[in-house]
Amino acid sequence: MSAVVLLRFNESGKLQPSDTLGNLADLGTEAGIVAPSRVTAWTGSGRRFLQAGVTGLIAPDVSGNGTLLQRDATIQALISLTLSGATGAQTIIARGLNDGTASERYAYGLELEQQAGSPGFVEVRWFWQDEGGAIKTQAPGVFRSPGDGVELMLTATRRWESTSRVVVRYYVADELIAELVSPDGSIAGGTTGRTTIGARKAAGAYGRHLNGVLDELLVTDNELSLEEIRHTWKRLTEYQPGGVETFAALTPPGSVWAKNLGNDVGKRVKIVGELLGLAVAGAEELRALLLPDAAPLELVERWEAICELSASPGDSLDVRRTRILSYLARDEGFHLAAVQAALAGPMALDAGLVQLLEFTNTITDDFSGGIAAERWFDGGGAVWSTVAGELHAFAPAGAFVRPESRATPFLLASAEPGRLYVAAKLGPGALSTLPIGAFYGLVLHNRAANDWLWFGIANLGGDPTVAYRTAVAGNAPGPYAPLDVPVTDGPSWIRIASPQRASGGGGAALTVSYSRTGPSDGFTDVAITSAVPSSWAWAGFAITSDFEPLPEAIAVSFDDFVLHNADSDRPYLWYAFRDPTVDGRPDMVGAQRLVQKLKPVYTHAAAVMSKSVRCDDPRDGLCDQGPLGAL
Amino acid sequence: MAGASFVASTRGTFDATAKAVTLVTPAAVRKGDVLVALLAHNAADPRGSVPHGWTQINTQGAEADVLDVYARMIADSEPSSVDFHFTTVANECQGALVAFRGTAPGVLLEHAATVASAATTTLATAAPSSQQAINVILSVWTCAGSQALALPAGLTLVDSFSTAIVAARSMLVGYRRAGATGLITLGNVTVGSGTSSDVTSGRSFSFTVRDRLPVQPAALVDLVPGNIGLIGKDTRRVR
Repeated sequence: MSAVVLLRFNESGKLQPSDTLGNLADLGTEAGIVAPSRVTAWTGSGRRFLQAGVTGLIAPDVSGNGTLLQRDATIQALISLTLSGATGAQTIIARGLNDGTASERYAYGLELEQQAGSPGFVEVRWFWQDEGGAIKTQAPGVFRSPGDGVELMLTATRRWESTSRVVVRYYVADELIAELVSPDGSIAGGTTGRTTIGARKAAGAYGRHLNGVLDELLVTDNELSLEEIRHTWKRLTEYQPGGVETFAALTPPGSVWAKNLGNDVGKRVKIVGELLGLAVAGAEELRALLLPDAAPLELVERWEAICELSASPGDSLDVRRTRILSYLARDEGFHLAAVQAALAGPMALDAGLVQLLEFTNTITDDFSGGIAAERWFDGGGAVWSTVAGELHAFAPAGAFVRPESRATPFLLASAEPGRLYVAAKLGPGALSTLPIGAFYGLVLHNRAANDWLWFGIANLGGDPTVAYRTAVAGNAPGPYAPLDVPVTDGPSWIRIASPQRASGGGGAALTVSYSRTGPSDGFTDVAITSAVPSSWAWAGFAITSDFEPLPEAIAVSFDDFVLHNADSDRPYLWYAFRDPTVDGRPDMVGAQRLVQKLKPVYTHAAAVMSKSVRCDDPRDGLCDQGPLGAL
Repeated sequence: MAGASFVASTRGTFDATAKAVTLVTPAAVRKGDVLVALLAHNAADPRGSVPHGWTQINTQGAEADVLDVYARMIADSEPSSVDFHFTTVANECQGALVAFRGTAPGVLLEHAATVASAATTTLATAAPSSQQAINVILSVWTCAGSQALALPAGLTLVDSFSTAIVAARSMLVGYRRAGATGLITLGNVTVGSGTSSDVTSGRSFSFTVRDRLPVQPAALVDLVPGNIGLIGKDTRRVR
């Protein structure tokens, strides 16, 4: 942050006012305006501007770009108004003369006006010109005048976010009186433009003269925050007067010479006291503004550097503070809202649109949303679809669905070593049409070793029967092991589970269960202890036939798939998903860096723009290191 | 302070037997929010007593289109709904509940305006006056018949519905930030497709909702001038 103009108006009445910061040449007059007179004011002296006296000041920049601000800006004034007798708008400052040239367009300006229908109420408003020269007077903040001649602190801030969005705020004393969003993001002005104080020039004529006393006027090239303005106010009204009182209180008891601040000694007491107060204010400034929840821009930049966070050019101070706080708050736990807020910046999204994908070690799918392509691997050989929330499989007559074919099953990547539990519902209506030798049910598969376990309903010689069979090491499948008498039409519920005790996974023992009653009762359990492969990497559904080609079509249905891997790593995975279809220019590299800094150490996380697994992109966090991608 | 902001709304349920319109408190409200109840009825059906905890802050309109406005601030314990009763219900009654944040009921309503439209396919919109640009303009239109009402540009839809418990009537509610001071001109509402088959009569109501009165700033007072002003340190840029 830099101040670009500071007018103290503390020069002698015989001297022209000048910019303390040296960016403006000494202020003067020209035809059409008269110099305001020097008067006593709160800081010592100010200048009285009079509408009737057509007062005003004008100055060019001393150096190129000295006072030209076309984006963020703040105008702060110590001012007293004289509304009595005043009419119309009153200009505090205007940067540009609006003479029709591009270089003299208003880059910024601030004006006041008493409300026509509400005497005593004052509007304060920004104005500037766009590239076409149209004057854009902004919606005002409104305050009640404290009275003619009563000095107050007035602040107006402007934050440029885009060519169609500017945020203006108005403050009196330390109170925010209005925050408004403007579409007037086109802001003109030129490096050779001149600045007027207390009046505005347009088409060669002065007008909109100020009627009041300007004590001090400050222009900065950034948007001052509420906390900065509040601190300035407290310095002026608490710390500095407090310093004076402190120093005066140190004088000998009973002495009066230091109590009268109007005499020579008293003035010295006041000087020292003010300096004491200034030092106190400096210390209080640290306390008030150091932490990121209230830090001004330059401190926010330091916090971002410390936290290794990046900010986009259009990020407001509030957004940047929130991002830092979210980052720091991660130590307090894994708060989704904080993570969303932190990622909103690099992902160029509203926080609510940042999708955080979390998982459990149980996968359920009722197929109400169709077949999720990222989850299910279609081995081919059959047509898989969803109808009315059920998974349907169809193999036409003549199809090749021999069980030893890898092309037949329709599989889920489970890939979780250890304990396994998989269950599903077999739909009704297929048994009367299930061809002889055909099978439909659950399947476990080790794709590397070419091991198989099928469990479901097979038509064994004309009798649909609950049965299982296995194939190991790529060898031909063994015979079906029938588990029940021939079943009649109607739904069946089947499941396959390894022992669920802590060390129960991966062994060569499984239990297959079936029920004709419901998903949670009526089950008959059968242990399979021989010729059982292990290390299942896939689980899902399959239809098969021992006949080639398929003599009759197979049409069956499934539903309510449940896969539980007790030893799964999935609970330790999360993904921050940025929908690529939403507008914006995300910084995914920055988002990934942020995710890596935010994530608890025991989790695997990545910032991704696809819910499908991408195994080769470090910028997406090498998400293939997680077993299931982002779904 | 950016002024009052819209939080949520609910649509009223008219029960002719109970002679009441029931308004459910929106789930999104929290303590300190202000509920504004908008009750539309025929002047021939007088309003009943004001529900406990509510304040009637305005009433506008006449004859077939009267709108009563009530307000209440959300407290620690808030009933889930409120019934607004009428003495008679010979005509359709409708209601909507709108919740604002950052408001105080005592100074809530700054200005109200209404304008009637007869036999038209374009309902005129009442122009409210706003002292502060941060105020919210809440606009309501009611008309006879089951009509699709198109919200004017610049306003955000709160609700649009028709009911016909007794006789078909329609209600449209929208809001916008004033964005300016003085008289705020709003667009008109098109009824249905704007053809002769959509002719109706109705009324527009506009309210200026404010967050608070304009503040009067504290003054810088010192009997002896000579204070350090806006910048107590040299912050000039490096040249």
